[in-house]
Amino acid sequence: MTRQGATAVVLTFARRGEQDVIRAAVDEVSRRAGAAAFVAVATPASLPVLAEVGLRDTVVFGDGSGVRRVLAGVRSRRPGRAVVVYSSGRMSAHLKLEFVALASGARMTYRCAPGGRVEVVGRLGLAWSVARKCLRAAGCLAAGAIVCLLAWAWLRGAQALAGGRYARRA
Amino acid sequence: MKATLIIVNYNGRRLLERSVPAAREAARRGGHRVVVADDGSTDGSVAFLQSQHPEVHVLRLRHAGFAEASNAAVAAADTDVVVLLNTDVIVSPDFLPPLLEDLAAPDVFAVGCKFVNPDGSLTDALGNRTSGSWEGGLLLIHHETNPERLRARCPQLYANGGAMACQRAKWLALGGFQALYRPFYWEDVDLGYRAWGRGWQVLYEPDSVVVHEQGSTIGRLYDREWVELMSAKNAVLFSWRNLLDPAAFRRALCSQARWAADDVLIDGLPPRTRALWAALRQVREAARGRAEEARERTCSDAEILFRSRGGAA
Repeated sequence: MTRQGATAVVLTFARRGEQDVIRAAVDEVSRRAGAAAFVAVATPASLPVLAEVGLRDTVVFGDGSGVRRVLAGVRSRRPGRAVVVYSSGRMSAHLKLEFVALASGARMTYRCAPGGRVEVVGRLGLAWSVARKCLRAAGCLAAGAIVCLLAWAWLRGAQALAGGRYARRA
Repeated sequence: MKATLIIVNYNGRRLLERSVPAAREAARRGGHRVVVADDGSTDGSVAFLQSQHPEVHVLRLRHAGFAEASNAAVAAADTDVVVLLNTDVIVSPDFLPPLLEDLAAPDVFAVGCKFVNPDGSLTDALGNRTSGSWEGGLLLIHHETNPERLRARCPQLYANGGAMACQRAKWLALGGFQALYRPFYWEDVDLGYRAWGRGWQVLYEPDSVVVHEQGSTIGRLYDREWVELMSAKNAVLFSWRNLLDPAAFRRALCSQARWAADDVLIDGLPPRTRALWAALRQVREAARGRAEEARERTCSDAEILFRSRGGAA
């Protein structure tokens, strides 16, 4: 078992051509936090990119492995820091990465944007970020449900007023 | 049986230079007529036709969109059969007789051509032996790409509006292309679906070959993102107008409601959520169409898809 804090877990969905984003993030965290061992958590699609930047200790998810197994693999490294690399513009990807960072048990998270900006947040700040994204999705789900409920009422009403189902069936 | 070949044109002068002579040659062989329905072009299309093809009748219309122009041209035709052609479709000289033969059957509403690329290969665009399935709240359209399965005449869900022949009387009974789908896309799917719903057939005819220069009409005139938004909006409206099966309709709306949550997790406002809002603005129009469909429909949504894949009625 590794000593808590010695390892930084790097979380990313980066694809080929985005090596520079990860390299910059890793360099920045090394500079700020001293020499740390890195373990990367990524999908199989990101593995070649990680290998190119020298990250060979990996926990793979999205390959059919259960979430619990992935999280257990991450937590067993007892990471003290998490590095979230926001290579994709998808907020769903951001949410997944932040959730894994939160579940990893790391006390501190470095949020690395593609432009090179690095923001450090604690567990509370990360939990708030995850909660905000979930709330926003829930709000939109409610809005979508209202739109579709309105449409359903209007359309089914018109159909009911028009007469029986398949009125001209022979 | 006589036919009117209708080319619907909007600022497609360059394309008319190739498509009109081909249509004229095909029409000449059977004593048929060629009409260009000009949807208010501003690129000199009408002047070009009057100078280069004076024998082609030009129906000059105010710009109102593809559906309205097509409907006006079909209404003005005086033949039992009308053949709708896009400006980017080049017909083969003998494409018409197989279509007319198929349309002689009383229960056939429309027949679609075989679309090929200029080099003779099959097109990737929707058009050949179409079928559909309801998935994730929308009708997913499929088209056959296996050449072996494109050799025989067979039923299909709809005939691509880029090159289709139909019985004019049945077109008028169906009300033609619906303005609900303005500015474009899904009119032909809707028409085919409703024809099957009334117990009529739509066929694919492999012996009627046309060359389709894909996307050169809409892609040239409109922004791609906007075209995708319109297509997504019309896909929603299609389900709202035509999916009458109560359980399937509920499932479709539940799927559509989830889109907003799915899409908000992606930065920017993608077409799917915007499409839902755009469709909501036309819900009254869709409801009127749905009421009409409920009155006229003779079979279920599942039966429509089954029969259009060749299943027996």
